[in-house]
Amino acid sequence: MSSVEKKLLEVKDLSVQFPGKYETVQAVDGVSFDIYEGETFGLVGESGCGKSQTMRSILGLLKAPGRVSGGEILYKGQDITKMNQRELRKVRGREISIIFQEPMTSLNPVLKIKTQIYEAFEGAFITEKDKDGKEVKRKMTKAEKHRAALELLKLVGIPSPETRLEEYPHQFSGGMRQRAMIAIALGARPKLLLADEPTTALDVTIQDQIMKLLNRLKDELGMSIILVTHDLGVIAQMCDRVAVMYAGQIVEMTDTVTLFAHPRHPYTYGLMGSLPNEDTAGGTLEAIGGAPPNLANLPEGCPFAPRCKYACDVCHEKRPDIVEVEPGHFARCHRLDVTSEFQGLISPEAAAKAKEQEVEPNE
Amino acid sequence: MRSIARKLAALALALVMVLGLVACTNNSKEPEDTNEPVGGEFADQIVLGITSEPMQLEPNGPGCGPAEIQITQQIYEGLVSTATDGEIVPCLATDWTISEDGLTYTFNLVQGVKFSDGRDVKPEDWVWSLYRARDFELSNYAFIAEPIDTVEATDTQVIIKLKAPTPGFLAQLGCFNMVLGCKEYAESMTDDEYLKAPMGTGPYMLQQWNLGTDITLVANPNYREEGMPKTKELKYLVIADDNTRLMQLQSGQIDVAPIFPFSLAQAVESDDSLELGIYPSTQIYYLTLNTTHAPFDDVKVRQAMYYALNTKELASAIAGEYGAPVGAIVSATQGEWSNTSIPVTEYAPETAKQMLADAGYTEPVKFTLTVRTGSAFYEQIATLIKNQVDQAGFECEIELLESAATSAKFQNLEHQSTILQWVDDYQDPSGVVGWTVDYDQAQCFYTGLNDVELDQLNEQALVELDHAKRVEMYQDIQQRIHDNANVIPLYRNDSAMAYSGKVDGVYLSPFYVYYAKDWTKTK
Amino acid sequence: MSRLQYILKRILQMIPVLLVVTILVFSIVHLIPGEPARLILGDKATPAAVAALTEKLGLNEPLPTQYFLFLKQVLTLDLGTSFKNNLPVADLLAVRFPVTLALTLLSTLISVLISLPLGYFAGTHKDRLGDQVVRTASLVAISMPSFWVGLLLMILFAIKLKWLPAGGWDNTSLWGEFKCLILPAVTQSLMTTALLVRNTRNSVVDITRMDYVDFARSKGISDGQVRSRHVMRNSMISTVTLLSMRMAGTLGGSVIIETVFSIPGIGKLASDAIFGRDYAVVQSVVLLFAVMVLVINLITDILYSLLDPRVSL
Repeated sequence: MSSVEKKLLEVKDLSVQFPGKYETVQAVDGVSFDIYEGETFGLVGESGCGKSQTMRSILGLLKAPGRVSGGEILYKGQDITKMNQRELRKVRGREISIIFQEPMTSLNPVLKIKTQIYEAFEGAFITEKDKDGKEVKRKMTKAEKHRAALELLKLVGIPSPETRLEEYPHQFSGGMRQRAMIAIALGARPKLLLADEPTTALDVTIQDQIMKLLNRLKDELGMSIILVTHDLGVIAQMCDRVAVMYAGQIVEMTDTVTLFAHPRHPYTYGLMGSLPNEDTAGGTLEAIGGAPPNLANLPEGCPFAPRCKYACDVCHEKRPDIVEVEPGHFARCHRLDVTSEFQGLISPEAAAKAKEQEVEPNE
Repeated sequence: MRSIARKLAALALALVMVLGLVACTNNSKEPEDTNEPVGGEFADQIVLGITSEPMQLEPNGPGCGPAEIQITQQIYEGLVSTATDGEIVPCLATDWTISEDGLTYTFNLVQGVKFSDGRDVKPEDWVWSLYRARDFELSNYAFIAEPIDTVEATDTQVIIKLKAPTPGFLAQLGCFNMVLGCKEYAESMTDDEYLKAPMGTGPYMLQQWNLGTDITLVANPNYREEGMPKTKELKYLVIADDNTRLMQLQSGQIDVAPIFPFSLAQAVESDDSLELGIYPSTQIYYLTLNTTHAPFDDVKVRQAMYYALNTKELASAIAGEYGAPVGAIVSATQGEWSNTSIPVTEYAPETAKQMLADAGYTEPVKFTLTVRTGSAFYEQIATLIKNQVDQAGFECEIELLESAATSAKFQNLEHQSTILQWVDDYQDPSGVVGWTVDYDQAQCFYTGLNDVELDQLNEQALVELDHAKRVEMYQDIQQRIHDNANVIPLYRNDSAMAYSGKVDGVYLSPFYVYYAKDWTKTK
Repeated sequence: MSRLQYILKRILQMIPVLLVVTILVFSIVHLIPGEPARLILGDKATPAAVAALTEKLGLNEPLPTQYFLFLKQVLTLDLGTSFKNNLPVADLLAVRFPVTLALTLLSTLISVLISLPLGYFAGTHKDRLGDQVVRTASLVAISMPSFWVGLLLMILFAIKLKWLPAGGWDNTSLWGEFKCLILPAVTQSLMTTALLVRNTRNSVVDITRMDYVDFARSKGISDGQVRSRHVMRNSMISTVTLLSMRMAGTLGGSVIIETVFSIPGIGKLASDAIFGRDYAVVQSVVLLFAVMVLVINLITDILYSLLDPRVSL
């Protein structure tokens, strides 16, 4: 990670609630992180930990009755949570895009792919000089849209784009649909792509292709990606930095190498412990006991305490604040004294080597 | 949220009900007009709303009923017609003589009569028309012309010879089917066509018939009476629902609603711009008992029925102030023919029970009362009857059948009891009596009671020339019918016409006949 | 197979169905008790007249003969003659069917115009006040009997306000006919509107939950475009099916509405014909209705395939 990086997005203390008839679900509780230009940021956690809701609130796409109940989301200095519909529309697609987990349900089944791509060009303008040399903006013509759509399909690696444009989503395979969705999301060249578990619904080989595609596009188009996943392997493959979420809060945040080298939160440690490797072959995987808490009825104290091996009295009474345990490494735990002993998945030597490699441009 | 929704639902319902109530409150409009013509001008058109569309427009056509007859009466005329007081008065005849033996009727004809298309009336037209009334095989009123043996005609006279002396014949000649049609005209087209393209000598002629919607009659340019008809055009609109007819009266879309139901009479009476005309009618409702099946094959059971029925209650519940219970089958509107000495039996359930017990019936006598569905009216009568007889030693089960099935049942004498009605067609008792007593006509009003003695008495009464004697015979017949107790009269009712206050001259005869030529409407 | 081939195939398939319909309707109407001649002649029918009329109407022929005569007539589009008013059934239908057709089209149009926006509104305000009001109103609309509504409308608009005629049929001009159709069309549209509103609302609720709606919004297109291209376009699919079923139903005519408003439609024609055992009319109307239902089904299937590219014929 280079030192002089511009901040693209600042999420400050974001909270999201789902008010209901009988109870209010606190889906996201005081989440803060920054996104820099050109980086891939990972957001990892179990189902229901609030990562998807965080993503959706960045674009104001929370499903009713969800709403942002606190905090700010600053993009280019403006607070997205305070924007009206018109301003939001300017951000959507052109500045920030999103792709969802299920490609089949994310594409309108009754519209041709071509139409759905063209929609991404809604807010795009062509800047050109008129006869006086002044710069004017105009909308794209049909022919220009067509050309651009073809380019996009080629960009994401869909063969025979001419025919594919005229087809409907159900005529595409799963992997191709995901590529199409990516093509659409990138149509207006956004600066930031939110990828909400983009490969979870695909099989492993396709998964790999899509990941490689995203990386390539990130470099070609110079954009940042927030990658939401529950798969640590994906984090390892793709992300520069990562935040671990639990029960609506960020419990640990740092760069990927550090996370895998020495995690500082019991949950992160538990996640790694449950990954299969040579040592666990033939034995049982060590899962984290218990279940995620009911977000409508959180217990006093640290939400992870009921499942935590290292929990002590204060853990059950008081919620821990987030603490910077070393530069760029944050953790939210009362037992940091104990967790400093955690051994990650990679040795400190390998970690150091990886860090060196990152400084140079590589594959 | 839930409670708000419930409150809103209640509010919505309340609003809807209020709307309904507001709409239903009687709207007494300002009477904008009286019967004086404004500036002496009468309207050119009167619009009538009728509830069913005529099947054809010739009185001999199959299934002629009030819908057809009211229109043919404006188009066709006969030798005589029936005046408002029941007297037979000249129409196309000026006067007549009847032979001593009562077999030959000689009519002197009005001269210069033309059909509406300009053709002169020829002698052959009279012959053809009267034979047609008797012989047209599809007509179910042919029995009215049955007494005719031969017809001869000249330019000035029509001579009718009867098979037997028939005192009621003059009245029968005043009936709606004994009218004059044009032979040449009728034979120039098929029968089916002629039934729909009427042409007569009457004050109106058919101008246009829009199937399913309306029929327009216009004044006959060749009508023999100067200045008649007073209103140049009659338009008949087919409006199936009586409520709608009422509304169209109130909105001015129609001017006259002939044969109007009493259930809506209130609405008409409370509206100042509308009139309700009440006229004596010959209509009587009867409870008919099938004597070919148990339990009504036993005359004692039938006679007990008189005491099991509360005809007063029936009359007042259904016809209200417009009806009254009756004892004889011949309507009082027929004048002296009606046997007024036959009492209306008082409701006496205990007497009925006793009579049944005496006849050997210890259990309540079960029977089925078959009536047609789709008529609130019949269902109402049936329900009232059931309530009455169930307390008087009977056990009545109401059987509701579809109209056609009901008819099929009683016409095949498969029923036990049913409710039927009768309206006379002419001023003579022979109509309803023949129907009740003559087995060949309708199996005695579908009761299957073949009383040979009574039948013979009826035959004699038909040809009895001595008026006083004839009256006596009919009185006797009615008494015997009463004793037979197979056709039990329930009540009679008047008939009503509802019309706009602007219309004048409206009258309905006891035979459901009106002549519109006298009607006027102010603008 | 191409659409044209599909249509031809479906039309061919209609033939055996219609044949069965003719057999069924002929049998049923001839086998139920009740003699047409008696019914025409009325209560004062004499046996002689009944016999003569029965012979004239051709009802003394054996049943199979009558059936084949009927079939032959149908194939030559003759449709027979009405017993009651002695007119060719084809003429009767030619007068009355267009009326019912116009009424159906108008009432369907009114339903669609009201229900789509209302359904959308209710769907997007799910469980909130707007939704509750719309759903309650729909329930009230379904519960109101049509003759009552019709009479009330007539009292209000024809008598009190005098804007529209109180029933009747003014065929002197197109505008006259239209005025006569408004109140009956509104009355008839109630049921369809209520059903459509509920269906649209549920569709909209389901569709707006879909990811592709969010994905579409995420592209920054306007709310109107989301609504029309994404939400409504998909909601319409099930609505079209419901709508066509209702149209098929109302094309059969409504006795109640035609009676209350005195409109010469085929509902009352059919009803009177059944009660009067007017065989030719009953058979023809039922056959006509069967044809309409089959045709509407075909059109619906084709429309469906046009609306939803996932469906192949």
